[in-house]
Amino acid sequence: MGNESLVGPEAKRMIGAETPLGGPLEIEKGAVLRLGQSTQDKSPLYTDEEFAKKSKHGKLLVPVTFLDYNVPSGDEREITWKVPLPVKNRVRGKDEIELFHPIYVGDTIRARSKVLDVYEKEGKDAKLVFIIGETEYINQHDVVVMKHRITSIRR
Amino acid sequence: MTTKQVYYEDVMVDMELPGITYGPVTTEMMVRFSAARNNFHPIHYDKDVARAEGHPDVLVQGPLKLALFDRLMREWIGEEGVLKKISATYRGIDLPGNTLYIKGKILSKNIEKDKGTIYCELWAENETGKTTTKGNAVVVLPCKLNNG
Repeated sequence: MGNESLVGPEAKRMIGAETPLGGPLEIEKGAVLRLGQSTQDKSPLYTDEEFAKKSKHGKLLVPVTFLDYNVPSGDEREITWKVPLPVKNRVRGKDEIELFHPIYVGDTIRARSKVLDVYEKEGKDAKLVFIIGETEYINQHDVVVMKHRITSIRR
Repeated sequence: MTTKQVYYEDVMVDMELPGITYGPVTTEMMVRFSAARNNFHPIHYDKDVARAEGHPDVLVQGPLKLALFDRLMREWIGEEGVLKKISATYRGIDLPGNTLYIKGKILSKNIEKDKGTIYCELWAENETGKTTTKGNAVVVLPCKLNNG
């Protein structure tokens, strides 16, 4: 690998790029239950409708990992994957989630994502490119319910 | 599953959280997680793609470990607890056949704006003892004082 930067001007220009607010996704109970089954989650607020109805929430909650690929414009393929780079191999480096309001089964969620930063670092064997993206999720009452920042690493 | 509600006053710094064991992980478990999230990156189910990228096998999804961190926290905080922040940093890979041990402990606790706020450290180890993922969570727990 030479000394030339992997992050060219076209990649740098994508810092600040943002998707439009994506089409809504109504969160369906069966889809959430399938996610819970895959992680063997038995939390009753997420899996037991009768329990959730009697709780302070009154309805089933949605785990934070349900949203990103399921909600249009939350999908990182729609923005951070479009940063033009000469390296293709990609791994997830970090997830950071902040919750502002509970997310419920039956909510209608929209999302928009933006590129916060693109930079490179010297790795053990090669240069690595870090792409930081952030997605904001908004419910049917126009309340921002969650922000999700993803660091992906290309090499 | 219902658990006894944990209160802010019950929590001590350095206290360990009840852990989760997940696995041995199978490709079927990973594909179920991918399908539920609508993420079909082949590195999680196609061994040829994973090998072409220099990995010995398909990779356990990083967000699966985040989901297990989330599960651990939610099972612990109970019905009255509120998850405010959660994160995962992926430092190593896990493969089918690995068993994941999801663990956590209390870093600090404070009353912030009349709320009992707890800061936690989280990590995922596999059966070799290697820590492949580290994370943090911030939760708010009910206070006994406010609950009569």
